[in-house]
Amino acid sequence: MPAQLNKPLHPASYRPLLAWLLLMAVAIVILAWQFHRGIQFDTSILSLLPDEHNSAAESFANNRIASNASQRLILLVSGERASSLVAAEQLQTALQDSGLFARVEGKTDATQLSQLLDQLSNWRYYHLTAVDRAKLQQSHQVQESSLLQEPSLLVSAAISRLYSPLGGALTRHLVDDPLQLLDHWREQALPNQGISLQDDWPTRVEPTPMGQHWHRIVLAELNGSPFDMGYQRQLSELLQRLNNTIHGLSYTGLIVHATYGANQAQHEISTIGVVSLLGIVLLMLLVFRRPSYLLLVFMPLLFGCLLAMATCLLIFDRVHIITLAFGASLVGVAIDYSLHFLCHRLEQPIPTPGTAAARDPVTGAITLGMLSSVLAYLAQAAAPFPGLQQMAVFSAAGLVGAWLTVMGLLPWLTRRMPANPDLSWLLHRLAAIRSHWPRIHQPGVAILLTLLALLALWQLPKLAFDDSLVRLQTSPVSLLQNDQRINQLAGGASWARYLLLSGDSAEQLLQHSDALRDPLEQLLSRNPGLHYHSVSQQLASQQQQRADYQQQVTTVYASGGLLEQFAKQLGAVEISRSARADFANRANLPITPEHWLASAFSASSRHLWLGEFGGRFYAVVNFSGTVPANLVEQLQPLLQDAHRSDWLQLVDRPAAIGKVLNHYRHNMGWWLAAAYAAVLLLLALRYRLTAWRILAGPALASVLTLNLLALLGMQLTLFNLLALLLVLGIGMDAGIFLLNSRNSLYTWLAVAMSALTTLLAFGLLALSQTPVLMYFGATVLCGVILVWLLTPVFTLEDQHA
Amino acid sequence: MIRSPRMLACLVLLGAIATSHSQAQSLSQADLARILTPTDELQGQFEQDKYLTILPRPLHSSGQFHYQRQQGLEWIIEQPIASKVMISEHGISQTQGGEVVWQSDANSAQTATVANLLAAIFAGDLATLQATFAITGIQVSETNGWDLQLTPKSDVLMSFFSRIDMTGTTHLQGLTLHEPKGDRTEIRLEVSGDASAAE
Repeated sequence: MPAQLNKPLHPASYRPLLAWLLLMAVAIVILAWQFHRGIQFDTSILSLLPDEHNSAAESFANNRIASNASQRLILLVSGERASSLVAAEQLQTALQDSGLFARVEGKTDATQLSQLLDQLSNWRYYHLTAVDRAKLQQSHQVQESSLLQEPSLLVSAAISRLYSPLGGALTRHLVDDPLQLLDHWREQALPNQGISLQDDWPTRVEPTPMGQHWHRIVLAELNGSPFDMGYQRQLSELLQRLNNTIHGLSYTGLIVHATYGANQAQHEISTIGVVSLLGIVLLMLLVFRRPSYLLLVFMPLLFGCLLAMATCLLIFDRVHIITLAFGASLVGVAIDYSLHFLCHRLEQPIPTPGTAAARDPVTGAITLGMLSSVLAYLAQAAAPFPGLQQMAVFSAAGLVGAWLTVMGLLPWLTRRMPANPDLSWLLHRLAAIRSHWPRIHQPGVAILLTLLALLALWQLPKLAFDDSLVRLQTSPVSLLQNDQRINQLAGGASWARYLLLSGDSAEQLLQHSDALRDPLEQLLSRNPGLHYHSVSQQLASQQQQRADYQQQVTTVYASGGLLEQFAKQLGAVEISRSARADFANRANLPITPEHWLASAFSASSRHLWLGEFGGRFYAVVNFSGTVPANLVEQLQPLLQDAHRSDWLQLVDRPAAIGKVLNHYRHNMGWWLAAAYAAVLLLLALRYRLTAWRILAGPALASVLTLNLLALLGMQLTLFNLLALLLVLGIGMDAGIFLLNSRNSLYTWLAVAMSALTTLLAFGLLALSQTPVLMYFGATVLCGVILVWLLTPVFTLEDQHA
Repeated sequence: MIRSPRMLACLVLLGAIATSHSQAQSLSQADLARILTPTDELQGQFEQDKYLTILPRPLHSSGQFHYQRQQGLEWIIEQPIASKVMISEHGISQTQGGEVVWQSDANSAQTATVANLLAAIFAGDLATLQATFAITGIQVSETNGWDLQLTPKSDVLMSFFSRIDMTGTTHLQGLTLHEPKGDRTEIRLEVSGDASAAE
């Protein structure tokens, strides 16, 4: 550019430019490197939250479970028997061929099934049902107490079943399970939730008024991260295609929600985003009438976000999508810097030659604004709240980047200031408005505002806040209902509330798990339709297993025992010998956790065994089916038992998250207050006793906003408070600039434009379908309008002074 | 020992189907629909022999059966040990002296299938049977007698039953469940009363 040499700047002015260039180059290199590695965006609202004050064990459990549960996709194909079968087979093939899944479980393979049954036969003699244990005990007592050989019910029942037309498979086990004890146990081990194997498919047959509805169940395990946008896109394309070709398909999984969230964000960016961008462009063109100004206004914002993103990626391994939204909006304060800079340039078109940018009065105000905003936002970083920390880092880095751009790049770009756009008409109108603007010096205004402030403050503690997670759920009700229905049909267990068990050793853990059996069975008997899933249903402790074997030594296989009775009654005494030999062969072969984990049998329950962590062993018990609303209450007696308290706890995630949200909402309130105090101190250094005038606007706007939103019937959340940080930032800047310039018309213009751009950019988020963004947007909308109205009231000089 | 001659007989029979059309004809869908007519109620007596490879003698039992569309199938074993098996869409239960000795809500693949199948056979529910089995058979025109062979379509079911034979004239008279390892259950039925749904 030959024009570059037209008006040489003072050499000192190049220093900020060089610093800017260097920093941005580093940021771009970091970003390029991170993009090359592949950036993962997080959309789960949970990952924004701190660890719920969990014990290390709880976090370990939550992480293990989350990584297991988040990789699952449950699919259903529903319809008539024949059509659903064909469609399910089509679905399974399509899923397998897609290469997007680590595992697809659908049609039962005959060889796998027989393998499973073979493996399971190793469980024989070591696993008894509680009922059989009691019956064996009883028959033993009968044998000992009387000489009269009363026929054992176990024996006659076993023989009866052999004679029934259904006894087919039992006859194969005349030798290795004559009394069908393993068969009893197996029936109980595979929890029946009304899902049966029909036409080789796990199926739920649902009776409806219109006839039977057949739901075929397919479980798929993702081979990519549910938050990876590329993977999400591939998967949703596949599911979309399958939806069109497979009749009666429905599915659920974390990735469905994650994809929904991402799509919605994208959709909103392309609708709300376009509207707000158009609005801002139009506003800029209307006022400045030059496209180049548009660029100048947004450049600090752009480079601010660039630096923020690079900093965030350097510090955190995954950037949350909401951090991005909030962070970008907080950086939005930076638009003030360019607006004030430009409006000031309009006021003083030709910078005094040789004046270093730093000595310019407007740059002083910008620097002060930046420092106070960074100070306010950094208050968040002190919170042990991953979401807030990310946002704080993002917005602080963003503001610094924007400030540097205004200081370094803008003076250089505007050194040949384009011709002054004609603003006289606008300024004229503004002057008229300014002269009629109420000011705090007027007694009526002062009284009114004081009363308003007192009323708002008095109401403040009474405002209803809602800390439940449901409030923040991104997914629409229809999607959540769909989830619930599919989970109920497919027998999916909920991870919202579960029991966490521990033990010093694997064996002790299994003993604890055994000990929960009876109380859990009692719980089921009180709640029809409820099911629980526990390791104890598939694997007993070594202690219990040995006891079970031992019990059969004395009852079944002893001379004159039940085996002999059975063989005699059946008229097949020849089986006794081989049955005894098989029993003896299996002595000292109880099933270990390693056996169980390696068996095909444990596939559906393996995830309940969390394994070792910090020298202790952990397992979980969870629930499915018709889970009663008062489950936690019903579990209390179980949890309060002193014998269990050191190895059993309830993990109630919604409650824990609600508690955390509540905790941080309270803290957020204090941090906001602390931010105001810190900023007030900083401002007092320069403005002395008038510093309060700068903060009075945003402070009053904030309390009024909360009251107003509550009056409008909005449930307030933590995220409304977050938005108040932006209100503080905007209001403080407006106050500083207005006070600094003694309410010059150009500053009025800059403040108006800043308020309007903020409203367009972030206030429009009030239209968002994403609850978190909607809360934020509504607060910004209300807060910034109030700030805009109130700041001049506090900063305008007394007209008569 | 017992099964080989019978297998041989089957093979001979199959050969006979293939070669001679004069005495027996293979069955069309219409024939099947005529043979397996929907029934609302059916009752009678049964004799069952279970041939197990590890036992030298079959396990013999006998008793009554009673099928009703609403209630399902009641299988009352009188000899050698009295007990009652109920098979309905709600599940399967077996009681002995009024006490439940076994109950299943149809979770076990094999039990559920046999239960469904038995109910379908007694109900004359051709659609269900054809969904599960490939059905072939012959009808001897002179005696009006028929023989059906039901081969499971699914490998899983095949691992429990290699084949099911049905035989009868106006009513079902015999049922043989073949298991893959050579065991089999032969059931002979004598119907004493029925109420056909097809008017």
